[in-house]
Amino acid sequence: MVALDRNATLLGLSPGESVADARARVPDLHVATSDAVGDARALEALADWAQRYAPIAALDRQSATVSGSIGGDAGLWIDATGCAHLFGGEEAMGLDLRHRIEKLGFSARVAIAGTPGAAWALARYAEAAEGVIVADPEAERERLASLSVAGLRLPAVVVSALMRLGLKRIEDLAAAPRAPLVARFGEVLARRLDQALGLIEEPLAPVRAAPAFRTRLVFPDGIGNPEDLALAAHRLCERLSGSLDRAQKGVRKLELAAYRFDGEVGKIAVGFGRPVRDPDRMFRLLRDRIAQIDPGPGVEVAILSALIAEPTIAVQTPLLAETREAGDEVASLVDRLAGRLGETSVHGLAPIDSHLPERAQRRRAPLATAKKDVWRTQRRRPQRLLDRPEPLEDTLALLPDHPPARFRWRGRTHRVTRADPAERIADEWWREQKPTRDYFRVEDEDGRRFWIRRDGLTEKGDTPSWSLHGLFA
Amino acid sequence: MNIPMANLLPFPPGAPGAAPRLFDLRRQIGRLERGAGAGIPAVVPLGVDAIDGHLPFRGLPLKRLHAVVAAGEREAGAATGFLLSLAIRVMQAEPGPVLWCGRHPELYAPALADYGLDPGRLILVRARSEVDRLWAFEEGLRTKGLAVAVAELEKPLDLAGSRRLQLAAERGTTGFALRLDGGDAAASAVETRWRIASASSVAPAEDAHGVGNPRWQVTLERCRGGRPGHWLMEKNDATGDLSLAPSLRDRPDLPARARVAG
Repeated sequence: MVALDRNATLLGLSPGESVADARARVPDLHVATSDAVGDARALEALADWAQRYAPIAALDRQSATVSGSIGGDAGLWIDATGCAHLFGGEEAMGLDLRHRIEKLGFSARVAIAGTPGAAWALARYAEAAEGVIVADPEAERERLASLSVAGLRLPAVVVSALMRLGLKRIEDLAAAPRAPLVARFGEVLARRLDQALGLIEEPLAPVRAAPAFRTRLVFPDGIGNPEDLALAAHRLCERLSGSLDRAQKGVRKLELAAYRFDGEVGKIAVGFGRPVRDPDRMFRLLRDRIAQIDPGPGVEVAILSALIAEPTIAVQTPLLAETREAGDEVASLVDRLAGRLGETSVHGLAPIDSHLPERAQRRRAPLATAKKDVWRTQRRRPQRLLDRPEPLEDTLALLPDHPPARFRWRGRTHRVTRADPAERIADEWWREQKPTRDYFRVEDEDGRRFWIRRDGLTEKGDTPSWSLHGLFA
Repeated sequence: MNIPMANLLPFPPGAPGAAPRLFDLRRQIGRLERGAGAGIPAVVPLGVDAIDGHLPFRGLPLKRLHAVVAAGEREAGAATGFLLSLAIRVMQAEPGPVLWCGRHPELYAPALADYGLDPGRLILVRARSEVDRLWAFEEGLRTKGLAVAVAELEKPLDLAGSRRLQLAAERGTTGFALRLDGGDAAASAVETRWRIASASSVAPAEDAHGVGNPRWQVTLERCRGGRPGHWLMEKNDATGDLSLAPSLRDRPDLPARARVAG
């Protein structure tokens, strides 16, 4: 058995027992198969959801090794520093949190304290079945002192050994000489105690980095249609722009998260080629995607975050104003195109130093030309290169080494009237051995020019295969 | 404004150089009025006197919508080559990137660099649907700061659609609608429409069987304020220059002379 609900715990069952033993004592025990992966995913989703309260939410991954945690090992922290006033104080925030989690179908205990350790201990071991435990900063240490040492997030073996030594409460442990305890149980004991008491810092490991800039809007009655959401997004863009402006920064990646009444979170993210803080530019890109958010039963909180923010160059020389404006227009165009068609659909081309023709260019972000590219052009290359060479039929070469005298492409025969000598392209030696490749630039009787490829050599016993790889001007 | 009086005096009819100077003046005025929409457009000359002289403003109008149509489904290479030659001339006159929208633009940058077009200025846009391509094209045409916007289209532009694009171009960027599949181009409000087919080349001096400079049958099908026309053109691969080619085939001594005379 991995986890028990409150009733099962009250019956005296404990995690780690076998189901058979438990059934012997409680015949009508309800057993469900544990799904550790699913649980972890659900907890992560919950942490994501919890960011509606504050930007930093962290998973409690260590509880798995701690004994006696009620209701399984699931736990999460929210760094509520500076956020509680948005909800009408700490108690109101905690109640709201508990209420909502329960509506999502979980049972939860909520404690608010000065350190992650204290909050962890209070949530699990303090006597307060109802409501929310809010530790008064003045009385937090006393309150913690009366709790079981199990509240210190220690390994189960350590907890039971401490119990046997008569060190049952945190105050017992705090009063005992430290050196021998550390010698016996390890440094973790001292660390957990100090963390709980706030003597040393314990940073949370957030599910994801807190955005540098974040702004939120709350709709007590919820909003259900995309137009209202768009209005909200515009308002958020204006606010975020204000914060960015004060910091002389612009956003490169923007995320709009819509928190629904049913706990679902709809998110859209847009990227910018350059740091942006013009609210209208931010909004234009978001607007195109807002339809992707399904308001479902209604959106109650909308949060706009600058996931990536970078400094902008504030100085504008009047001489360059026109050039700069033109550059901004192009950057904004690229953002709009990428917003609607997808980021990979808008790109520039960069050279690669490869003698395989199809590998000599690669895609790169548009407008990313820091320095002048060097394109190697030794021989004639087609202005249009087909992604996949198209096989040719009915190809006739007068001699094995000659260009084709005629070929059939897409159902029509072309007679070759002119051709350049073959250009041999050896494969890059570290790649797998392929047949020798030759290219011919040929012209048909109407002057059309094609780049024809021959794979394999007759003299080596291969049957050459012919294909069309490109079109010339 | 400080224009020397002499330049404003009317030329006696038929005086040598009168017409070109008049055109220069018109072009100057056009430049001054650029952005005002209508009026005489700023132009870039193609560098081929016969064609530039045929065009109403002695060159290809900037900030207008032009169409280049392949004369058949197998003329995609020729149509692309001709369009690139025009685009390069516009890019010399206008700073900024080139937006190229297509279903799957097959442009090959090493060859473009060789052709005289800096691939660093290219922004490629891949859009599967014609609607998206047209949208991207129109957004590009509206944008000040681009040098050229190109769209590879698969359907003819209708009158209303091309008017819209033409209006967008007048406020923003020179545009080229490119039809590669040999499809028909319906009547549309483009400034110029060119139909391009390949023509046999003349062997280079060093290889009697080799492939020479590209040649195209260029038909100006539509030209606002001008007349249709037809030329056999050659592009010098070494210099990038365009010239008229003699219609006789396989006379290797002619192209160079034709340029001087043209």
